[in-house]
Amino acid sequence: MDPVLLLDVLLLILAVLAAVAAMLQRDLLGSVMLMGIYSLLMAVIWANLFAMDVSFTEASVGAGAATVLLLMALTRIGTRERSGGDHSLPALVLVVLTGVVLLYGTSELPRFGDPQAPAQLHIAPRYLAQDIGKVSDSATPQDSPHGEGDFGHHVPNTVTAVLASYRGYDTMFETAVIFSAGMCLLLLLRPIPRRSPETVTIDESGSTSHQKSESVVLRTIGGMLIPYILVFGFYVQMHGEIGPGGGFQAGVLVAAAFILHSLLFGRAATDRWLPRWLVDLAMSLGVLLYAGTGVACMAMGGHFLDYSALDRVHPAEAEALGMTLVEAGVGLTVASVVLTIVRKVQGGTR
Amino acid sequence: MLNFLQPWADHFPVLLVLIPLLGGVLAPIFGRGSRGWAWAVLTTGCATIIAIEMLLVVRSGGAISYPLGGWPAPFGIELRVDLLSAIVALVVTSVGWIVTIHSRRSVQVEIPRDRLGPFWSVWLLAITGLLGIIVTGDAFNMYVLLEISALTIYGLIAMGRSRDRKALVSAFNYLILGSIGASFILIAIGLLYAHTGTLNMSDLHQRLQASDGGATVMTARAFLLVGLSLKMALFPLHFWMPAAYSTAPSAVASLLSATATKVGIYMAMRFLYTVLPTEGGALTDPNVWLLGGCAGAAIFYGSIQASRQPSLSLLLAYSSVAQVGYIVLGLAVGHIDAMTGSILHLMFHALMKGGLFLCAGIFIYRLGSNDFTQLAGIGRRMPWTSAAVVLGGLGMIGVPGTSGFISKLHLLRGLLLADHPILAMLVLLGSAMAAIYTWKFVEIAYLKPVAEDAEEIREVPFDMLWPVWLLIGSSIWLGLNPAPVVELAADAARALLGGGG
Repeated sequence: MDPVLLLDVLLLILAVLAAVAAMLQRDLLGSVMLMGIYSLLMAVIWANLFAMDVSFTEASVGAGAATVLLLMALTRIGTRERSGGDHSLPALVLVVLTGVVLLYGTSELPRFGDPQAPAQLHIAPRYLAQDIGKVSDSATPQDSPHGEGDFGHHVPNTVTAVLASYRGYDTMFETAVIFSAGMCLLLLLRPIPRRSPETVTIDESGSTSHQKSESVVLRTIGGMLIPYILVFGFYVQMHGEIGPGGGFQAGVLVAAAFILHSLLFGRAATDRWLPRWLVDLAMSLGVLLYAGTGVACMAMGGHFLDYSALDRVHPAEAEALGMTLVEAGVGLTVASVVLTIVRKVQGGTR
Repeated sequence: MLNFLQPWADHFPVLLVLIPLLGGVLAPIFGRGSRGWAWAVLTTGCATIIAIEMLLVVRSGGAISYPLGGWPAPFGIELRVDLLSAIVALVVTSVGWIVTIHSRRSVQVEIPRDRLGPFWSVWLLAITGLLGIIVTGDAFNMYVLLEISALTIYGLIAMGRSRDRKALVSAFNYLILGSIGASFILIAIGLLYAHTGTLNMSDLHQRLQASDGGATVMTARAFLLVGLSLKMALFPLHFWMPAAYSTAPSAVASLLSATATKVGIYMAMRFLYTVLPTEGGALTDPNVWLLGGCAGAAIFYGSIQASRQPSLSLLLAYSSVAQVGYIVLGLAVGHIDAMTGSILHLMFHALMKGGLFLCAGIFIYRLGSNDFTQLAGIGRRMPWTSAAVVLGGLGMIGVPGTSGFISKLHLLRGLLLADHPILAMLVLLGSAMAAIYTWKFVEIAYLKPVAEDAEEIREVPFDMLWPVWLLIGSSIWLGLNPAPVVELAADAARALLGGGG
């Protein structure tokens, strides 16, 4: 039997087990940990399917950021599930039936990786060849200095080409979804004081006194890690067109560096480095940078997000300039929203 | 066309989405405190102007296609505005604008002052999501914008908690159900993509029409129907709606009742007629029976429930369950007249129900709630608001002279011509039942004596009243001068059913 297939089946079984265990687990801390494990397993599955960008995002957002956020939420609500335990039989029947319908629906789908699948034949080949070309009335100069291809072979990572250019409008709204999530949180969460330590069984925020004893080791090692995390974040941000990565993953990484800083040195110290008003502003600025790039393309005679219209600004590399700008917008919004959510969920210690 | 807009005429579809998006993103910066309301009015006003101009362009020059990023469809994302989308876009922006204008005072009372910036930001982003769904010609892009509108609407509903703690529960229930609906839609889009290799709607339609379909397309259709029914609150998947609309902040309830379910219905029209395969422009019989049956049950159940509710908000919410039934009925039958009636009812109901929910909000603003026990004799104490409720109720019944009459007339004719006499009977029965619940308000407001220990209250200020009367008044005016709107809706229906136009 194909060893890769065997691995896939094993991973899938583990993922299902982790998901079911997370649901049955009565201790919320355990539930969150199992969800983290589930995400990590999914990240490995994506990698096994050669979806490296998805895998990277799942690992950084699903297993990383989401787990940290849920843990922080637990510091506010406690880890005991108060009610529950009533498993409704009709609901189970309904879910199983839905699953059966879904299995039926996928039964006629082409096999994974089938070169004759419609998804491989219709649009994808042109994405891979990057020879689509703009619409006839676009602002592209006819004698494109890029050389051949949509991006002059400067974007070997096709995922990024689709994400930031071919379907850049979707990505703008994905960024807006992140922004909306941050705004909803600012709208809904009241700055209630954190609960007294008796009801808090875990404490991730690190600014309370009882963690001081370990703090020498943690501060030294953690403090050394922060610059590396930041550099890696910037690398992922700038390198998305060549390898897996881009604004979403980079934003989470940069946010992680600051979260680590605030866990180790307290929030007051982080606020000195990164004032709160700046984080609030950056949430809006990221989406603004993305949409503004599109508007600039319109003002220069192209369609919205038609980066080739930026030719006047940066002649040979207009597409690259546009993609860099929008990716920076994504990174800015993602990093600042994650930081805001963490800050908001941590609650007021001061 | 306004002269200064001329150079931007090509960009109208994207501008319609960009303006509220930028408004929402900038609201936390420019719209802090009490300035937020002015910022939201400005933004929605600009969007309304664009929507009007866009409708004029589409009316004279046919559907607009806008290639985002300059990439040709189906490789890039295409925005596509035909007559139907232009009409729904105008309904959403204009009613959204009027509701925003009305909401200054009620939002000040119901939303804590330090949250006004985020509130108006989320408000504008919700409108962004709805408008984006309307103008897009790409199935996945529609899902992305559905995410934005859904996420922001959950947040907006939950803000009702300062008046009623139950808002948190109803927002959470809606969050779970809405997420199930959205993921069903996403699963369907995924299946369609695997089957055709494209996400562009017209490309999808062509390729699906040409293929034999089979299990994949059938499953996709099933998932879409369930997901969309949840989104548009079609019976029996309506149960999140009354709780959500009656506990949300009153401004939010008005906005949602006028726009959100309408956009759900628009998505159903789009997917059923211009994405999924049709049989010569019509749905197949099982689909007609399924949708028609649900819609008929919605009319019956919604109307009965409406007459049994203890508060005006709940009455209006259950009435909306019934009204969604009317619109889906015309949509399902697929006859040109029925579809015209559907589109007309979509427009008129947005005006009437938007206005009625504003009135419900006015009662909350003055009395703290709109339970019927509080409303006894309100007709003499707040004559302008109560009269608006009665006029709106007459529109719900479909009394000749109101716009509800025009839309139901077309719906009835379509149902009879398409040979569905039972469904036509249901429309008449529903109208009679609407008379019962409207009479319930009349009886309480005008015939019951004011409670003796009631506090002295006055009518609300003019700036809260005129938006209500603008909405209710225009629904009456359109009922008296229906010809241009009917023609518009008929053209849109013809284009949707594939008869050109």
